[in-house]
Amino acid sequence: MVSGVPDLTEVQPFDIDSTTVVGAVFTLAVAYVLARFAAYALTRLSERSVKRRTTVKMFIPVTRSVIYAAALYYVLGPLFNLTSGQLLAFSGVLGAVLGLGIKELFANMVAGIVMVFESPYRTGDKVEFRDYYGEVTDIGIRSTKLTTPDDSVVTVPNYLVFTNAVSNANAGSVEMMVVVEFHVAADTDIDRAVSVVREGLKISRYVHLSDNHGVQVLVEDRRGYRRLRGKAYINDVRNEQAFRSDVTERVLAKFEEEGIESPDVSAALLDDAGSVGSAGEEA
Amino acid sequence: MMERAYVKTVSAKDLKSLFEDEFGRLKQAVDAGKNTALVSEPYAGRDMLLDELSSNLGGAERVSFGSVADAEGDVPEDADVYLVEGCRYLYTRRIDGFENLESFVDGVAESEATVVASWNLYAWSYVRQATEVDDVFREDIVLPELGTSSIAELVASEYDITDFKSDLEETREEGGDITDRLPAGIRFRLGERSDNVFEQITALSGGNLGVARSVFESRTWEDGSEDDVGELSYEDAFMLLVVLTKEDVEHQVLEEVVSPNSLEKSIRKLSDAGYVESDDGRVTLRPERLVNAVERLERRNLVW
Repeated sequence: MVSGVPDLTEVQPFDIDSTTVVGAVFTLAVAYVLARFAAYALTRLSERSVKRRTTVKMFIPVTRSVIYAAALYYVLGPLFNLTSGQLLAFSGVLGAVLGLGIKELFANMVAGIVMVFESPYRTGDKVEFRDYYGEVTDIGIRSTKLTTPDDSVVTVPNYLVFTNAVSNANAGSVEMMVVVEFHVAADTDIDRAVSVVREGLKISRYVHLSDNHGVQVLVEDRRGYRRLRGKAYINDVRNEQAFRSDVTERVLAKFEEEGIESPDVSAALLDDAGSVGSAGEEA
Repeated sequence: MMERAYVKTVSAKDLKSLFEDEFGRLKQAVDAGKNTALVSEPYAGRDMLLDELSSNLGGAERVSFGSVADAEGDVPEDADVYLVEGCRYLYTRRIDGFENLESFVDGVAESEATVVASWNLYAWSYVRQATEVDDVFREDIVLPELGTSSIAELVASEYDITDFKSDLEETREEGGDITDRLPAGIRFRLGERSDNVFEQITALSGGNLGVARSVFESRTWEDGSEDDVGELSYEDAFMLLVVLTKEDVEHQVLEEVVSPNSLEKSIRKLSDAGYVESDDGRVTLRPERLVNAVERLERRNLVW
């Protein structure tokens, strides 16, 4: 016998019997319960503070991955004791299963693991994904869940992240920029209209102001009317709709009080149908 | 207007000794002709520090805005130095609500006088981002939190502390130096759990002398700092923020910035929770709940 090479007759073959299967199922079930509990506990903790919410939620997919990885290692560890014949048989079965149509499930799971480390987005981010826009509420091994502004839950397979562009509005930050648009008649007092929009943004109860997060109003000249785009940061990504509503209500009330008129609807439709407005200027 | 019993007995001289560095910087800024903002939390004694500055300078004029209605923003033109109190009333959070503040700032910019304006910390944090006020008030001096030993000596000088003599001796021996060097959040959490009453008072007051007095008078540390109010709605939290920035505000001002339909309900809720007192058409922030109010608003990212 050559030294250093194990005598294959001494390797104990690994038997997959009912005990092994039951043990594996039990281990995976315990891992599932632990992962759900950890996610629940971290979610409850994150909701206690707006500022810490995204940081705490970031640990949810990481914690789940660690728990599942430990469970899989425990379950699959004995595979390393398979004989070469058993290993070959197992590989054959795995290849056949993948080929039979669950390759996408496998791709999603691989993407889910990669996402834990690469983080194109985190739980709590507002993302746009193909036709869907919403807050990321859960990043699972197989899929990501978004909650849209209309409170619908959209489940997105993870592998789509790697084949599509994802737009992230806040990238882990609690604050986020929001744009609110207004249209005024072409002959209106534009300086006054801009001033009203700017103040409407600054006084909102949802606004966040800092050295890096100021307020901007852009003016675009369109045929027959002017478009004002007000940009400001909000103090919590969840206040996006409330902020838009708050600013819109106050600004429109002021416009009405001061006789700042909305454009003629037909002019706006004609412009939207085929023309391009002139370049915007910052006010 | 509700009487503020918690600041009336401290002499300006005592305050000057507590904020020696800040007073020195203030005096230097005035001597150099720099328009200066003196900023502090509510009830921390900034207006009394202006009293000391006023007697120190001799010919300084005092201008005081007692409410939003009073604050028209004009700067008189017949003195070299103006000390202005109540700047927090110069604006309201509504469209065109900054007119008086802008008029005041323009007046200061055009005047040759030196102006020291006292500001509520949370109002200042907002207006310096929302307007160009800090282009004119280039120097801002923020009153710091006081340490345990300062709070202990202040309380001991004004109240009968026979029951707490041993705690005072312990504070004097330790000097409060070790915990005073820790970050504020950790320091105050440790203080809340301390057996020493002065450390508890310092924690519950956030090192604010006016709040510390109020805490001592109402024996708040005996109730613990448990927050049993539950979560405030966003509307209620925003109203609390407005009262925090104004300290003492008329109902009609609140009507302009919060939803009129929920005004009375929100005032009632905040009053039941102990954050405010409502009397004679005015709502006033209760000093002993200041620290808790700020913590709640920070968690919501409403103060920054």
